[in-house]
Amino acid sequence: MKFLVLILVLTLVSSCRYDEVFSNLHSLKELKLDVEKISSEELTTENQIIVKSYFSKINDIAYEVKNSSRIQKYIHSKFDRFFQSSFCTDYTLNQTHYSSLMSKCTVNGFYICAEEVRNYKNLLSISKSLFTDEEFIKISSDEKCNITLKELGLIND
Amino acid sequence: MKKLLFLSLLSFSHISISSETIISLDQVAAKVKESNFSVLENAQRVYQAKETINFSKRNLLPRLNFWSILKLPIDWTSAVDIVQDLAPFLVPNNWFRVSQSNLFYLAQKEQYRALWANQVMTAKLLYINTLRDVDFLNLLRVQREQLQELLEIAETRAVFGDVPPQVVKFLKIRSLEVSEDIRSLENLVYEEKKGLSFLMGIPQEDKILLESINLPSVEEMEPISFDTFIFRALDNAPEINQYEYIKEALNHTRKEVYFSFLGSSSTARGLSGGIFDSIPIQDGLGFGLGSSLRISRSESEILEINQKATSEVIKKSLYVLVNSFNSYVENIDNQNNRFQLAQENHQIIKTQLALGMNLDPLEMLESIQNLFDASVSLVNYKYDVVTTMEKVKRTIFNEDYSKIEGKLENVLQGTNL
Repeated sequence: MKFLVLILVLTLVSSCRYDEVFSNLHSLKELKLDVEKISSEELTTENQIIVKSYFSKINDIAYEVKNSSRIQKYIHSKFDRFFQSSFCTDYTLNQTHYSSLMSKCTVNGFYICAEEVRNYKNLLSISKSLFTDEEFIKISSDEKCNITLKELGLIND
Repeated sequence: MKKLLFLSLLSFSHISISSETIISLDQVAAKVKESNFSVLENAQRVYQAKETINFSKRNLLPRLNFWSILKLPIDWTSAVDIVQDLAPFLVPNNWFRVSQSNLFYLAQKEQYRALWANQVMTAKLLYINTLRDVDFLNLLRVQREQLQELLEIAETRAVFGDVPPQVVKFLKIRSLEVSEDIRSLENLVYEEKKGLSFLMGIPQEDKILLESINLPSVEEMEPISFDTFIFRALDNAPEINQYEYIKEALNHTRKEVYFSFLGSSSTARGLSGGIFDSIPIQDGLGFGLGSSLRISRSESEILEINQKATSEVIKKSLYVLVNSFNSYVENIDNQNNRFQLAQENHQIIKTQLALGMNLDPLEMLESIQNLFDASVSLVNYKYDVVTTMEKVKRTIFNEDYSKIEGKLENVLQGTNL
């Protein structure tokens, strides 16, 4: 009996950890909208914090997934539940907003934004490699998503 | 014997042969990282901190203490004492030491990064200063040639009585002064190059040649604002980040105080751990627990104060840099106009001289001096802009100073991006 309770507790604790990755993913949606709102504004300290929050979150998720084979397995098993066709539009900042942001990140040759912003496309490439080919095809089958990923250079024409 | 002779010849040649090394500004950072003595020493400290983690981890495994086992048949109560040897993992404080050594390693890495950046900046600023002095030297050499020409004209005229002899003597004195300036500046450049060799870990026997740099077009630059730069300066500062790790390590020390009744840890905290030596931890649960906790809270306050002070220092230096940079950008026209006017004035004097007009040599000397001063001022101004930009780059960790750390480094590792 004790053994069963222990297994149950362990399962609950570990699934909490996996769910944390997904809750991080869901919070990305809000953070992305915040970045889009300020992408045409000046990069004040407050706006820099907003920008950093979104890109750091992507980095955090990529870090968690890349370093845990269990989370990877969990993602593959629950893929259809968590990744819908609106995945790109909901979570990925498109090229237009990203370019607008990056143009403000360089002032007189000085780079003033967080490192994660400069490495956005690298982070996306790594995130892409964490999905199987089949999964990625599913994600990019959505027309809007396909355009977004093409513009960001993640899919070749 | 032949072997000995060969070896002694080889070592002699090693001492006496000096080579020439050409260095560009872009190579300075890499050279400092590879061979700067302070950076190398600090890299060893980071390595020691990393090894301390392994030591703390392995200290959780059973170890053999012959004398403790020998004591056991005589005194059975000493069996409890050998828990530290046979099952050190049962002592919670040993686990806290593992976590602490991990955090101190990360703090040490941040300290290394700060030291490395400071050394790179010092070397790069010295490189830029040396180039500035070499440029001054070249300008002084041009001035000496111009003075020589003027002296020859004055001497010819003095023969005909057009120029009084004291003017010729005055020009000779000026020419000698310039020669003396050249001599002292040559010595300064020599000294700077030796200093630069030391910072880059290049043997003092080697002669270094510095590649020149392109001075920036200050006219095309835009003023910068403190508000847009401060985020990156504070976000990237290793001087601030190290406090985050140390504060986290302090939490483990607090846990050590609570769990002291299960035995204290014999594992050293390792590098940087000395800052917690002021927190007394009783070997067992006693009435000193409250005091220990209050001291640890006070230590936490000290860390907060230091962290705040560090961020204020960064803000202060950024305010000063932004102000300097903007003042350079806004006043470049004055410098350009001054140089242009001095050049035009000198050209008028030269044309009048070519037309055979009777000119006062002192007026000619003043024109040469004005042109020299304006040239030096303009070159100096541009080098000051380069220096300020370099300091801004260090403050916000750009280009040579930029370093991807922590999670991002881990995520990007092993990819060809």
